[in-house]
Amino acid sequence: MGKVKKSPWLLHYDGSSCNGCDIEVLATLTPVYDAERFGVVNTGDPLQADILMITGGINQQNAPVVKQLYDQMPRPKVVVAVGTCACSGGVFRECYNMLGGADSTVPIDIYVPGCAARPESIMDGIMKAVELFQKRSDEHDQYEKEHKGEAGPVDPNINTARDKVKMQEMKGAADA
Amino acid sequence: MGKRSVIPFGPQHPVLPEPIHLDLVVEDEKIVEAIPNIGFIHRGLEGLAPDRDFQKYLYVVERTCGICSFGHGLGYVESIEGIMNVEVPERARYLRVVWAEMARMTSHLMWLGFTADAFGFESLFYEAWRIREKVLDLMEMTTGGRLIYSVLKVGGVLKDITPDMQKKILDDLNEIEKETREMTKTFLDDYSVQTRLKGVGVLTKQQAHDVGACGPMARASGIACDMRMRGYEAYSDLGFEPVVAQDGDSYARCEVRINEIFASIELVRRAFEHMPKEGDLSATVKGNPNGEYFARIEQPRGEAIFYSEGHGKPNLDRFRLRTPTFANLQALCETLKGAEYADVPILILTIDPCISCTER
Amino acid sequence: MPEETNEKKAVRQTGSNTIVPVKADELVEKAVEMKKKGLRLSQACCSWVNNQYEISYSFADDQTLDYITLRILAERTATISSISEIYPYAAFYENEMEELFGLNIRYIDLDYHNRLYRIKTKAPFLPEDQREVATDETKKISAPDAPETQKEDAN
Repeated sequence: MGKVKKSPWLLHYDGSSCNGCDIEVLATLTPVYDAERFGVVNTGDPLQADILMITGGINQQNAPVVKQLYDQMPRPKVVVAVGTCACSGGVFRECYNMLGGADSTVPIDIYVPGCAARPESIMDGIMKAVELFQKRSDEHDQYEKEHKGEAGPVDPNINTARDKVKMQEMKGAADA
Repeated sequence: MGKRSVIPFGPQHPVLPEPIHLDLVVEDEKIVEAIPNIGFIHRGLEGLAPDRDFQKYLYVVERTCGICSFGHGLGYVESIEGIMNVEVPERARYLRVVWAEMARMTSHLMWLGFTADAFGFESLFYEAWRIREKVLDLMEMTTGGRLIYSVLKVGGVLKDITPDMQKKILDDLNEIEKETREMTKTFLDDYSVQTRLKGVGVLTKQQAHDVGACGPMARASGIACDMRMRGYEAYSDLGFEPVVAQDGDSYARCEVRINEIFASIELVRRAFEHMPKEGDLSATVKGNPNGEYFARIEQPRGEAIFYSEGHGKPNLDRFRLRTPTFANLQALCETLKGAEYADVPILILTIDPCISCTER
Repeated sequence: MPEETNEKKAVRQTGSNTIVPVKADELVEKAVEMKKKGLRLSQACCSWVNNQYEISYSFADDQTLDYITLRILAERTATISSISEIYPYAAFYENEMEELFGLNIRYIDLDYHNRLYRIKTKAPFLPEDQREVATDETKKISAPDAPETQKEDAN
């Protein structure tokens, strides 16, 4: 896929956040901090996004919404949890409606702490996510090249080629 | 009668900063009815009140909403101070006014950016947020935080503003005022903005009263009601007048909020003039709250009610927060009736929704 | 009836802040009185203290900045009549009270039937032993189903 890290597309979704981290995510894209000079574009469409940024914890109402957004994004993808509430539930962890941080619903790759997370930390998180995305994209291309022409069932639970191989190893270890 | 269909709007939408779901009953491109479906941000933080010490619970209440964070903290400490009859020292009251007005400015500038972005005016979005960053720098210099400040405590404030900081704030505010005037003049005089906002979503004075609208929604329809007229904290000494418009359409709501930014700058200047040069920052608070009290303050979005009830234990028995957007939801549904489908994002943004406040 | 005043003694503020006790069957009549005076319903809330409900309906006067709260004390199995025919936007507050506290309110104009917030716990603000008390059959609280997948509006 070439150098995708020149232009990653972000999708930002707020799941039960207080809005502090959301505003800071948007502030990262505005003139003073300006993540857009790195080619980052904030899109509203999950079918075209590469990186999912989740703020706020997961509660019973938005768990299916977050899962659906994650499933709609094409592979390879990277998920970033922004803010303490997305990492672990934050101050609201013990509330009756909360299920926990974002990792109760989708697998998270990068955790950005803070309450509210500062734009500098979010920028750092985006940069790391972009590096990871480039790595996954290269692995995926490599795997496709090696297994060219193979028809196989597409498992939606497998994020990248690396996970596919790993799952087969785990299955093999379980069978043995 | 045309064919009716139901179109779901949200919870994830490019123009919405927060998840809200509306079921729009549409008949040939015009909306007949809108039924809101909330609950995506419901954390249930009012249920934590019996489990936390009343002084520590302030930190949970502040995080109800990141935009209106100072207002929530202020209302909560006011309700506790009302139960326990604590007298806050004078300098602390003026400091609270300064921070509350600066928080109001950041909220309105942010709202202006969202509204401009909703109909494609992206350069104004970036300009408004660039000016907002200047105000946030001032907040960070004085409180240490950009959005969640934590400078309040029951009985006073935790930090002081030194004379150097005060000078910098006043100088920067002059610059901010000049830039904001230029920017908002462009916004209000622009032909395409006027076409999209004038006459859209009209709420007459009687309708605004009947649906229980509060804050800039009501003031844009001619109802001159602002909680700051009650004179809580130091507002009684500052000669405050509410900002009112008469037309009741989306353009009037934009005007009211923009003029409130300038009114806030003026209030900060006056507060610095009247502030006593030295004084205690907080009063000592002994014992536990025993009683109940309704505190009412003016948030950037309207009137917020804070109700606390305690019976002598360190934990409150009940804390209730009624935020302005909860009251304005019905006003939103009223303005959506008869609107065109393409105007829905604008109308949602003109009530200045803060869904995390609504659902706590 | 004795009135409690809650005026803040520290700073002089305009507008009084009073709590008036009323009986549950007088609620609708008092609401009509408030509407005739031109007051706006500001908030309605409920709390569970001393094994009974304390329900508050607060009305605000936009001219004089007064604040009047009607206070009703009710048992767990009591039924309150809604005031949403008089104040239509009371429906949101009453739906919330019903869902979070298990309070019985009848004749709500826009009734969400306990699906306003769609939380899994029944009446989370009540203590555990009170949640299952059988109430008026026509308004029996049933546990909400698992939330349906929301179709998102992809643009």
